[in-house]
Amino acid sequence: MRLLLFILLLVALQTALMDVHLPQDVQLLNTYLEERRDLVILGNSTSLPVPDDEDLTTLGEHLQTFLPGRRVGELVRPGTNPLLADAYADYLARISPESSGRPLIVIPVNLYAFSPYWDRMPSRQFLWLRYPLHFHGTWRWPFYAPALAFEYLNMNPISYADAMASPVREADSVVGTLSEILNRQKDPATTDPARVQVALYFMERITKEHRQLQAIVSTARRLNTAGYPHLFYIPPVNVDSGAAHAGPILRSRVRENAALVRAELEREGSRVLDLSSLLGADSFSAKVAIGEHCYSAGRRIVASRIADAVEADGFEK
Amino acid sequence: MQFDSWQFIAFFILVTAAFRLVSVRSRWLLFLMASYVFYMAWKPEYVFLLLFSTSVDYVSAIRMNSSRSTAARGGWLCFSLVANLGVLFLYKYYGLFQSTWSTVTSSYGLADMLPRSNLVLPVGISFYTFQSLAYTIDVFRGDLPAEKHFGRFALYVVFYPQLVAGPIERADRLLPQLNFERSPNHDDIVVGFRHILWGLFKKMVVSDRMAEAVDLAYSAPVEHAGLGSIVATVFFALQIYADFSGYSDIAIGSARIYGVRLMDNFRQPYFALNPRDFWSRWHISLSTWFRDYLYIPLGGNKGGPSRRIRNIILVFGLSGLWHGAAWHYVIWGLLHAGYYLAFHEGERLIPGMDRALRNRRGAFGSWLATLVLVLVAWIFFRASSVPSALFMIRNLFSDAAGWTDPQHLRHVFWGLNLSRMDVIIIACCNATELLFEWQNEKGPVCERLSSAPFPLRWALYLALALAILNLSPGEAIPFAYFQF
Repeated sequence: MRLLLFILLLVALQTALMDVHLPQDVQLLNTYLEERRDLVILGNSTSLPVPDDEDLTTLGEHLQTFLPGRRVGELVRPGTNPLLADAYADYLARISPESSGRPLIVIPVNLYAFSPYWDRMPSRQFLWLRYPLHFHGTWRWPFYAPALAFEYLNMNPISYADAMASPVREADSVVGTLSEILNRQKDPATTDPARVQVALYFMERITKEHRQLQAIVSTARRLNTAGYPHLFYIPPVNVDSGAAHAGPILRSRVRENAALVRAELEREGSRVLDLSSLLGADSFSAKVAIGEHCYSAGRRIVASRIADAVEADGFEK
Repeated sequence: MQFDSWQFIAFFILVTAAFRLVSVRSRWLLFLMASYVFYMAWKPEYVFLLLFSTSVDYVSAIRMNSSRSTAARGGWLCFSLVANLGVLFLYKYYGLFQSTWSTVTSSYGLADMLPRSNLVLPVGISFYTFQSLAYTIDVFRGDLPAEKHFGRFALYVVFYPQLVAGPIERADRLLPQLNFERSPNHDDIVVGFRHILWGLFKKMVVSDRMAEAVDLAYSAPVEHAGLGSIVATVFFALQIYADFSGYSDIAIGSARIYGVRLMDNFRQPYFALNPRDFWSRWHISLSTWFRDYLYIPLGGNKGGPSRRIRNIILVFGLSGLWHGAAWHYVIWGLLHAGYYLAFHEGERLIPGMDRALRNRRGAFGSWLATLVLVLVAWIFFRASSVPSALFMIRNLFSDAAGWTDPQHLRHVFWGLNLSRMDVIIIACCNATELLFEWQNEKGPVCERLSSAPFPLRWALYLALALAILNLSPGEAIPFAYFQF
């Protein structure tokens, strides 16, 4: 009897304490939902200023200036991927405030997130954020801390060694393991590091079976089912600089990959802005690797396109 | 299967339920099967090594028992020693031997003839080998009759609560309990669960919370030279104690629930007032093993100072080597031999030292000096190599000028990936442990708690359970002593 009482008390206290395990990002999202923001953008490092930016305005702040009549909430963290977006969609679908209070969700689909260097690295699985998003508000939430403590939940499903052994492809042919490619990058005497960087991030041909593509499709389904208005956009890629190192094939690869992402999402009835070839090389910082990190002017252009799409599509305020 | 994993919880519940259901006569079989399953969860093929050791020692002991000739008995003991230590050498020490041999031969320009070994170290091999050897030596000496029941002897070698990290039990104490004729009473079960709860708190909260900072500092000693190394070394001292004694507590508690009493392995070692005192409190089952099966047979204190010194150096050196096949472990052992001998000689040569150390100020100074010496030795234990340890020691005070600068302190803790909240949690958890240890000095808390008021007891259980669930870092950090 005493033991039963003890267990009941433990479960009650544990349930009451559980929200200390809710990451700050989720708490901020809850705040935006409570404040009934009109639009929430799930940003990442490409929404943030680059190191040599003179203007530190973020993508969300630019968006706010283009949409003065709407209140924008910006949820921005250094890294994201479609699996994390799917976890947010799962959470939003569960929280599901009454229809008039549902904000427009804006989600970037960064092409680099499909590369093995991003997809496979243990540090980029974001499980510490994905688990709470999937579990909070369900019967599993009180068991989250015990499951974590007693290793029922695996925070590192892909070991570092496994990630490093992952194949890197240029189109359909394997050009080496992740470890080999990264080592090549360290030797500028024999290899062009920028070319390797581009190959690592953008040269793989995305297939329909890619788990990140399936995750972003699942995101769209969840948001559609829950009735959240949403807009995906494919952020601009520094194709000009990349092609100077990797050759013109980079342009066609980015175009094909973006087209596939767009087609898959549009099949779900979602609106997608393909901005992958929107900006020239001068919009991107040379201080960071060739990729998707642009200056404030570039972010402003991206924000204006998003704002145009929001206004044109007449997303409910 | 780690004690702090859900697999172990499920395994423990199943075995305990089965223990209550099967007849007393069948319990040994239940535990034998459960213990093999427990071991095979790690690497099934290594179960053959366990069976080999068990069979060799069973046969040797039976033969010794039936033989009247001392030579024959000695022969069977030699057989057991060679077989057990041979396997231990092959799996644990061959790599060190091969690399040392290779260094020596290459320095003379000779070809390296020894092949490299890729054998994986079997978990717990040092523990079960020593436990099994203790039995054959006891039978050889005539202190113990040979166990005729193969199954019960096999269970003595593999009894799962203490199989992979001790305590290294003695046959005269453990074997009679493995017939399970004495069923556990209410006290056994309650005290057993207290030990388990306390052990889990020590491992999952106190130890695991500090593990990352220690790993960071010791894997990159140059980046963390100075205060970073000092903080990491203090953390490591606390971590390894919480880790190993936490394991021992869970082992003792699990066995107690089945009515089996295992020996205490730790007695508040960081409260030791001198090096000799430290070794009577740290890893007691190993230090008494070395005392009984090596130090005393070598002559112990008898035969003059030079022989005593030789024996102490040998015992501590081998104790270091027992922990790991690397020279930094040997140096750790030899350092402790030096401390032990210096204290012993000090007592002998300085009149009144004993009395001076007993007064409050003397005791405090002695405690502090012992602690510092133990910490210095831990650097060799934890470092990846001897040069790495020497580098850390040479640079312990390299940044001393910045120790009062808050910016520098922030940088040091940031480098160890410790936020202010982490430091507060680590401090609170260690303070809780210290309080418990202090109470343990007055008598075993897990037993004494029965006389505490009901609300206090249950509030403590609740607080510990909530701490385990919410303060554990949630990453699989293996028990440190599994590698030995």
